[in-house]
Amino acid sequence: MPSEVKMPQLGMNQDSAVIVAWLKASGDKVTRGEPIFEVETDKATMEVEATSDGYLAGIRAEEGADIPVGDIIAMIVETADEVAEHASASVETTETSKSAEGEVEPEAKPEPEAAVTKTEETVPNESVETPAAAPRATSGPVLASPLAKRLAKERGVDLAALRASGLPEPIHAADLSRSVAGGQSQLSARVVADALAALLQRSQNADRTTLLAAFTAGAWRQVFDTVDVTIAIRGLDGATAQYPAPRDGETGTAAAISLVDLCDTRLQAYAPAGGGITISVGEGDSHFALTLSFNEASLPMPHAITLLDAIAARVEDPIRQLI
Amino acid sequence: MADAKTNTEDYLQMYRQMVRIRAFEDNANQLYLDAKMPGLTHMYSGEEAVAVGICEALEVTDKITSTHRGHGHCVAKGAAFKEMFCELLGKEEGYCRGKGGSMHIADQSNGNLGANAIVGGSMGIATGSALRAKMQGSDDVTVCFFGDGATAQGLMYEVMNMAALWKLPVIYACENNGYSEYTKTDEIAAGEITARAEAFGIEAHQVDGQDVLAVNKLTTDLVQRARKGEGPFFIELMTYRYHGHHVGDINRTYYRTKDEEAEWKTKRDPIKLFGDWLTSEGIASEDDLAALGEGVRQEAADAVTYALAAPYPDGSEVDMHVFLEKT
Amino acid sequence: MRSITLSQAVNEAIAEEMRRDETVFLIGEDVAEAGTPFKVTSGLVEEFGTGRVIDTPIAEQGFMGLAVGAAMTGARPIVDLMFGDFLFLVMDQLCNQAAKTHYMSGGKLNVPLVLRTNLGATRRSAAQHSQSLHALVAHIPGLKVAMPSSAYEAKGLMKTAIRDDNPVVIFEDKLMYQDKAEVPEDEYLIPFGEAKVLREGRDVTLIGTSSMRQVCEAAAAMLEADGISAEVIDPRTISPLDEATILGSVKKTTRAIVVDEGHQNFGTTAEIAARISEKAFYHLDAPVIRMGAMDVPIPFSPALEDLTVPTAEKVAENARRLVAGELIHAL
Repeated sequence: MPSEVKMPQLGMNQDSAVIVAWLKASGDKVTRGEPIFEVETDKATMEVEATSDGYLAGIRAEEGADIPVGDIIAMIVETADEVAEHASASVETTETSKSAEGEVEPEAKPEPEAAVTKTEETVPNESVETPAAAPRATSGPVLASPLAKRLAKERGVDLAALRASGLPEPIHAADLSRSVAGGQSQLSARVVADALAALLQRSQNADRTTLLAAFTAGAWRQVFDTVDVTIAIRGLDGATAQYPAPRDGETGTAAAISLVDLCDTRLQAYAPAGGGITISVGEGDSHFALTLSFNEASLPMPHAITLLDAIAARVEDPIRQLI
Repeated sequence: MADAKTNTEDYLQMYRQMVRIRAFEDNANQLYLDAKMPGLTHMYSGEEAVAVGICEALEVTDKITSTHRGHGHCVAKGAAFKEMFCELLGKEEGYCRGKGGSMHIADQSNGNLGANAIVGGSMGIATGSALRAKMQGSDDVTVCFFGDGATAQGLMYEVMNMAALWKLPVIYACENNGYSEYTKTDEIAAGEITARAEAFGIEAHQVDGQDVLAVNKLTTDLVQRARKGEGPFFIELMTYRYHGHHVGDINRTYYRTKDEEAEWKTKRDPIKLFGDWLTSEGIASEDDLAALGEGVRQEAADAVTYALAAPYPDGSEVDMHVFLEKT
Repeated sequence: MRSITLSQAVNEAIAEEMRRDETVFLIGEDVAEAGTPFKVTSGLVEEFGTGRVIDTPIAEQGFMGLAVGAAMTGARPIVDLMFGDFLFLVMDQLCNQAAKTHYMSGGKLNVPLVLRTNLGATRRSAAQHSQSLHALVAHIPGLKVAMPSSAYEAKGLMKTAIRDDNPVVIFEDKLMYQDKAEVPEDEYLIPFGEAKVLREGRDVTLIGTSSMRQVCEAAAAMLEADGISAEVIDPRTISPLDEATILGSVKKTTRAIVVDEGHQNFGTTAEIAARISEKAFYHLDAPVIRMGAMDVPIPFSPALEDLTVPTAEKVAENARRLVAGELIHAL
């Protein structure tokens, strides 16, 4: 039986990845565990391995294409003879294929502005929607869970704008910090390092990254008046941890915001292009550089300002947070 | 009942109880007509000798189950006017705190297990009460009041079967007033009603339900025998209701004539018949009876006045008594 | 700890309470020497005699009525109704009489009786011996409804029911009579209105009554393999219902599936789902899913009957869809 080659999930807030290069061509024999293509995420470039033995066939994504996570980009067939059968399946690189079940999948729309304005009347003839697809209203009430609606209200997030950005419905709580299209905005702050540096020196047990996560969580709780928030701590080695750490046997909840601690490097800021909300912290000459990267559809600017300012206040005066 | 004095007291008690039922019903009817009573009610007037003849043969510890036409049973088993009128008007001081009303009125402390608005619905309860008495070695007897209409219900045959099998101290008292709601009993009952009980081997009697002495004598005898384990028994009491099925059933000539009603009221009225007998026997004078009647009517009028002024239950009572929760 | 069958657990509960309180008696069809078709009451007549273990004619409405009258006047009857389907025969005595007596009498009378009967399909008994009708009973104010999910619950709930001063209907799953569970030798009662959290989880709450508890537990085990953490709750009594435990769980997991063997339409699942939707609405990240028996008379053929009841596979599948955030029943 042929198996599907899908764009893998590569990180907590990873929605898509760019194919840098195919390491195998259609018809090439592949063995399980052998690298078959290379992708670039907002983190790094990495190789993706074959998950079964066979022959690569039906490559649907060209090099340079940004492919949503989970999309089928090729097949691995059992015999060389089957390669030809799957060759015809090849489609435009950035178009996503809709599954037969009509699952709504994140779409990398070539024309995001069309998604915003599209209604029954203005659908261009050439972009015929699959009739079997689940309803994808782009006007009318947003399909979102009650929890997502409540959180959106608390955070001032416009669900319609999120939908217009290409986020599939129904929107759930975990989707609130995501938006598929639209540019990332950035806010930066410069904070005197003395107090935190002194604190870290005094207390051998205090871990800087964990402290920064605690500051971020505290600021988030204050700004959004909420009890629980999960922070994804993205390490420089690509690993991801959670703050607060999930209890044994639990998988952990979707993170609202990612934290990147660059203080051990010469780097000052990191602002991923892939979406989500990220706070990066770099250390300079007796100061910390805080950079908040976000999409204004999922984190309105006024909230972003309050949030970054609240984080900065904690970094500047950590005792306040600890008390 | 050896000496005459006792007899005189017993007779006057029966007469008074019949007059009390009539006075209660007259006032209830008036409350309905004056639109002072919520809902409607079923009048017992005309059937007083049945309830009184039977209940005067019972002890306080004996049980009865009653019907939607239950004011008479309630009075006869010893209830007071004040709490009854309060119940009728849905007031807090009613026997059921205003939650039962006319169709569920009962003075529970006198062994009245409740009036039942499901025709025939209490037959199981009465028989179960008798089962409990037998099981626990208690010598109380339970009387199950029901109308001729209820004899069409299957439950009656299920429980009479068990009562007969297990020799339970229960007396089934069928008040045959000739009408099953708006239909002649002849049209709904095949064969003899007493024959139905006899089919289970239950001793059955038919008695003139307008003759309180006859009813009382028969019942006294059957109650004593039931206490000794000779039950169950069945009595069909031939009687008549003066009003319609309920107080709103005014135009009823399509099922019975006014002449028929007039004949029962003038020639077969249980109170008049018993009053005549008391005076002819020299037990009481007409003046005595008139004074007694006047006193009862005054008592009823006072109770009505009291009940009209009495408070409704507080709204907080609405979800009380759904469950019995001991604290 | 020793393990005994659900049938033995019920038997023990009745025997213990009959020893403790001489007003307790058992009445129903073939409860004495026959010990009921499921042999639940075997041995009781030998200990307590025919005066307290009473075989009746086949007259459900009749002996139900007798029990109401006995209960109103100082006895504590346990009525054995051979099949839950026969509830329709006793409805007037149960719902118009037993349920309302305390209220209609303004609190002067009460009816401390237990009606024990059963539920459950897949015994190949067709439409008149397979129904799960507890929702009908739970709809009536004045009646309590207990649904034991194991031998342990069966004993503790039965003893509580017998001591309760109100009419209680206990539904045992007739397919579980031979199922064993750990039951302490020492006396214990299970209070009404206290749900049991059988498994803690984070992603979805599975609420299962009676044998649907086992279905939910099996589903939770399947889900664990998929990395989905399911919380399993057995309400144990649906009237009263432990709302606090259910709502607390759903507020944590944000998703709920209610599983019950009664028909889905207007059923127990609907009631619990409605309370969740009403009282935890802003905590829900997915629609609340009801899983009851199909809304068809229970068919005889195994090929058909097995389709009518919720299974662990179906519960797990629904849970996966909820957790995946699928669009469920839009429009």
